[in-house]
Amino acid sequence: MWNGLGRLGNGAWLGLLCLRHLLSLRKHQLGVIADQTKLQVRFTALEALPLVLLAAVLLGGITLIQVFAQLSGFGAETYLSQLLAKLVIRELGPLLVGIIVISRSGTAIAAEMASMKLSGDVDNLYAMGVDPIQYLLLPRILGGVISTFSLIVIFDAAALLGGCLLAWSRLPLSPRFFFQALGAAIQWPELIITLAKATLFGGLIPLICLASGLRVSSSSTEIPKAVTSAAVFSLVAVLLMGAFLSVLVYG
Amino acid sequence: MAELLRLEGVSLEGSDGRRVFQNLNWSLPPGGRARLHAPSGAGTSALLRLCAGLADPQEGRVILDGVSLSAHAFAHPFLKEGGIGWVPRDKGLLDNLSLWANVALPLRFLRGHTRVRAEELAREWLEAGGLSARAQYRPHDLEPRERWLGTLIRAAAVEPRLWLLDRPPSGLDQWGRQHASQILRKAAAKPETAFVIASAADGGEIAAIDFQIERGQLVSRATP
Repeated sequence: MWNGLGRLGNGAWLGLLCLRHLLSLRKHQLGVIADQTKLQVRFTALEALPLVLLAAVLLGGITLIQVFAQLSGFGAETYLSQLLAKLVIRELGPLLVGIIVISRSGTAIAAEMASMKLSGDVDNLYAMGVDPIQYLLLPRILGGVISTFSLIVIFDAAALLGGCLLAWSRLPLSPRFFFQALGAAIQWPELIITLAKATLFGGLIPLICLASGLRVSSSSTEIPKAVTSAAVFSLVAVLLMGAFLSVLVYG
Repeated sequence: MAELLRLEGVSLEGSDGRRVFQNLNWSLPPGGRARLHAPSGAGTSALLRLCAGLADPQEGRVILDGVSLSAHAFAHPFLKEGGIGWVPRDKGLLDNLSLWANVALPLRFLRGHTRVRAEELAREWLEAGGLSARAQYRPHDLEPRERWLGTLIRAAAVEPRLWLLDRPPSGLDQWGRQHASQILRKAAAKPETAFVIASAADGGEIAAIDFQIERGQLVSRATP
């Protein structure tokens, strides 16, 4: 309990520090930060794309089959695409993307930070005048936000497309009807919650993983512990924030 | 003349918990050059880390360019302007960047050069330091002496006002010594550049005041 609160405090302090150092960036440093951010986006979003697409198409199809089985019992198949859209966009998309980002990138960030701290890289950056918060932390957080937002949008689109293809091939639903109903289902709250969850998850996951990685102090045996705690705390944060936002917007 | 570096009543423990400095008062003016003599483990690296803002003293304070230094505070103006040429004993380069990118990084981040210009300058510095053939190598593919020399080149490229130069991990051969001397001579040509050099750091060609670390104090040995 106290350990968790302590970590929460650490994360919040690190978040504030990042914000302060973001505001103190000088114009000529933006190029360096942008280059580092691009590397993060490539690793977190671009290289995760095949996995995200596979998960999205399968999830879209499976969800459609399950929802169709329930709705057809009430003769309410016409609501199929609306229900799928709401489920995927509001909850499943952000949650699944969050889990993929934690497992692929969050753990990598924690391990990288821990080994950089132990090898003295963080000290070397500091001593030569390159602010480690600006050079190491900000690009990972910015990259996390951009990547998570992009992946959620792509995941949602792929899941709905997967659902549409399945509906077209196996169920008595035409794509035209499917997309018409889909258009009616996607409203401002869906866009707001996508943006809010992407920003929160994308910022929180790297922040928690960075904080966990930077907690190591002396031994390489601390690295696996840091990675495990980064994954666990990120997952808890994603679940809690996801539930909180859903209740806030739809509750 | 105002002091560039001042240690006021500094007490410092080494990584093993042993006290290496006790109530140390010492200063270095701009352009001052000090060479530290001490057996291995006597506190030379600890003193250099203290001056670089990488450790806090147990007592006393470090004042750099008139501003008190707190370890890892990320706010000291002298550090932020790239005023320190930091050359640690080992692992001075970032592992995830090539040697070339390591040298170019502070040129972009601190000196405001464009990427193209920073890479040009980095290439020139690596040529001058005899490491142009190794420019694309990552630090783990370099020999320890090359890593140390690479760190020296990176520090020289930003033309710092204060060099903190630790000894290379296993000494330098004639090739390395020749290139290190060349770089350091160029840096020392600027009269306002100050140096704190660990005794075996191959900065022998720089005329410096010799200090011995004795019983937690820096004792002047001779004036060149």
